[in-house]
Amino acid sequence: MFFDSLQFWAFFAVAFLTLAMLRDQPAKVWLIALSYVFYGAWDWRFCLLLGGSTLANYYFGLAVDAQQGSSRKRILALAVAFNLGLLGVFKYYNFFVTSFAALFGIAPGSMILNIVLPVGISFFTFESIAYATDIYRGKLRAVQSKVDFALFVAFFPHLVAGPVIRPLDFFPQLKHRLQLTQLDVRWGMREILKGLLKKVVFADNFAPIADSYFMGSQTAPGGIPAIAGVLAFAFQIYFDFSGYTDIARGCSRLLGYRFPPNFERPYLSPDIADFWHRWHISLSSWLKDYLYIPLGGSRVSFPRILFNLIIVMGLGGIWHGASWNFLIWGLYHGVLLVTHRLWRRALAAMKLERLSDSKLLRPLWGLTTFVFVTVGWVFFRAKNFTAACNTFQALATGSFDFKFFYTQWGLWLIPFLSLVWCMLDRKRGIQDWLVERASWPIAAASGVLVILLLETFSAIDTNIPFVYFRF
Amino acid sequence: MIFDTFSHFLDRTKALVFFLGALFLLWFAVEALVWRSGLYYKVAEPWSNTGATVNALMNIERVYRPGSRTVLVFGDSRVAEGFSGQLASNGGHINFINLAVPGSTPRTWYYLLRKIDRSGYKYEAVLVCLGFSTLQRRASEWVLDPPHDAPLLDLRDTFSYPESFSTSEMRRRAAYAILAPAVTMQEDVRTFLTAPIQRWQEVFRERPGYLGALTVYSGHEERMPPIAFNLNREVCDWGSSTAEQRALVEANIASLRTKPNLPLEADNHAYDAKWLSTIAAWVHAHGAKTIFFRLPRGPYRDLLPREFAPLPVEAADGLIILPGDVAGELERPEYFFDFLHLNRFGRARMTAILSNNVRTLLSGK
Repeated sequence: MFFDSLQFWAFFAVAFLTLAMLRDQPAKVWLIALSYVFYGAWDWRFCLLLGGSTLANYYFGLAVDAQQGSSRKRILALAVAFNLGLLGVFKYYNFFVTSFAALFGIAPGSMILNIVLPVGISFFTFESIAYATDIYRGKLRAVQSKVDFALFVAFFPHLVAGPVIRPLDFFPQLKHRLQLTQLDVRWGMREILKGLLKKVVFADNFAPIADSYFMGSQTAPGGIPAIAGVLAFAFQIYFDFSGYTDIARGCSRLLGYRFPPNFERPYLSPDIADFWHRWHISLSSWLKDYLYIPLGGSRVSFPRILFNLIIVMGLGGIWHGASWNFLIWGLYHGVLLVTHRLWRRALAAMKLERLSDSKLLRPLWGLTTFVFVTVGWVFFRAKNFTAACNTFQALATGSFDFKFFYTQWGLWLIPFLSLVWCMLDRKRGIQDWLVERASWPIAAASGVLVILLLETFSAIDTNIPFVYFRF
Repeated sequence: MIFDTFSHFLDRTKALVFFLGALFLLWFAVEALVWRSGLYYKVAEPWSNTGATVNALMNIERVYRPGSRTVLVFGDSRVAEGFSGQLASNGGHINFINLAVPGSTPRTWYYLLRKIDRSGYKYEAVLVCLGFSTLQRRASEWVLDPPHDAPLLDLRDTFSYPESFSTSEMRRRAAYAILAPAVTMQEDVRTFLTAPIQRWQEVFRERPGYLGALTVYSGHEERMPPIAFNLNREVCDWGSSTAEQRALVEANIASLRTKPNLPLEADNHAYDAKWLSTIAAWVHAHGAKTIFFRLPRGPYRDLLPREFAPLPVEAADGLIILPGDVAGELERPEYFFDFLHLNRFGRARMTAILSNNVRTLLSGK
């Protein structure tokens, strides 16, 4: 059940109306049931995994909260090991077995497990780890209500592709059921329509170019040039994932819950550190709070900080999928972050920070960051290391075939117009005005305009799944 | 208590329902203005499938003579190439109007006829010309039907039109043609937005010229070469045929040798039967006659079945079925320019045969 399918919107309409009929506690129970229906639409067996994980983490939470000292730490370790174990079995086991077998030249044969990767497992295991850790750190008391905890894990808008919800953000929202105001409706509808536009008009029109390049013509002369394929994927993944997040946030708001932002115009970042403050924010902040800080954060020596950055980004990379390419992608970003740190240190030593940070140079740094990030997507998208190397080889030849861009000029207007829009609505003043102050006819007219764009420019009958659903 | 009070339910839903209601009404108004009023279809690409239907509607506007006896002629590209309305009308008291839409099927002819009726045009008879099926897929799921039919549909067809298709994909496309025509017309709108000046020229300069030229169009000059076949349908003598024509003939012979897809043929037969009967019933209800005519099947008799397959319609009041071999004499290479379409000579001949037959039938002799 994808967010861009009619099936999902029929499901959402039923969910919205039936939840509105129920009192607070039954509404929560019903919302959990609906979330399991949503999750079971992929494969009903996944519900058993989700239910088992929820129950185990609920009791881990109570156990961590009830203990003090070293036993508290032991139970936390057990909770983390349980969640990582789930990930290990369902997501990484076959990868490690085949890699190990390839290393020692043996056939993996019967060691391979015939299991399907449950959608969203990476998201709900990370949320559960955050829950146990927050209790351990004393930031949160264990939730006594099984219903509240089950809802935290299973709430369908964030279940399969995030954002990674924090217990501290979510549980307070369960205390009082919020009344749906006109502001909520406008905000929710704005995010949903914006998300659909990003997904079915922007991302899905770039997807065929990226797919054609990465799934076939990497070595074919006269095919889609490498630069077009890589750029198309850079735009596809941004519009796809941020579109998904917008829809998830819009839906949750209409159901009375708020999710934090997950993207803040990341391709406009002036440096790579800033990029990671704006891209998949819920994951990068999770990695910071539950991995980087426990490794010592900024309290350790400078070389250790750099080392930790590479470790954290490498693990963040492999979180995306069981493949060496994801690991390399993560390590690549780790190296970029380390380089950025060294660069900033060198600038500070030469007292050139103010010059470097001047507004005049900002577009140059923004473009440089975008280029480095886009190059990194090659590892993310290529089906294996050899394919990634072929792409780099093609990019390095520098024989760019701009005829392709010319023939597809309408498509490349999308990033250009998006940039113009970001400049016009730099502080989101227009978007906020539409939600908070614009009259009803104007708000509805802007919605109709988006619907007309969806009708005219959406990629119909392509059935391109959301990129992050496979993580 | 599980359920909350009705007032709480209203409190929780009214803001969204109100917003969605406003959104829907405004969207509906815009759609009505742009699509359902027919405004956009007037500037649709004239050479597209939708444009072909619009051309047919504009053609009737040009050549219809109020008060005169009118015969509407429906068919696909074989009728567009093989029948001349002007030639048929010459020297007679009957105005033949050729409403052929290339690539169309009887479903489109029905909706076109209905639209013409609703626009107030009067006619004495409807001549439906059916070729033998060349579709290698189910006619009932013909993918060009929704773009052909979009300008002919309205909200009353919301359920019945999609139901006339059987696969869920085609039903969805059919529903788009009525409820969200912008989706059906995506390509058209995109090219319009990309090159509005070119579209303007096509619609307001080239189309009037095209419609004018249609009236005096005499047909293709080329003709298929005489070829001799043996009893096994193999070529004995290629005659003066070119390499291109040989390739065409060989491809046709190869297709004849493939095993007939009987379920598909039965399905297409049922489709034709359903829509031809619907057309006949509609025409009869409007006090006119329907005349069904089987088009010449191809240039080489030796490659065709000996028997003329009967048309898939039952005899009824106001319904005339011309004999299958009425234009059998045209199944010769000198009357065709390819395997399907008549050339200039075939066009003139078929027009004469048909108009004479229709005149005789309508005169009551």
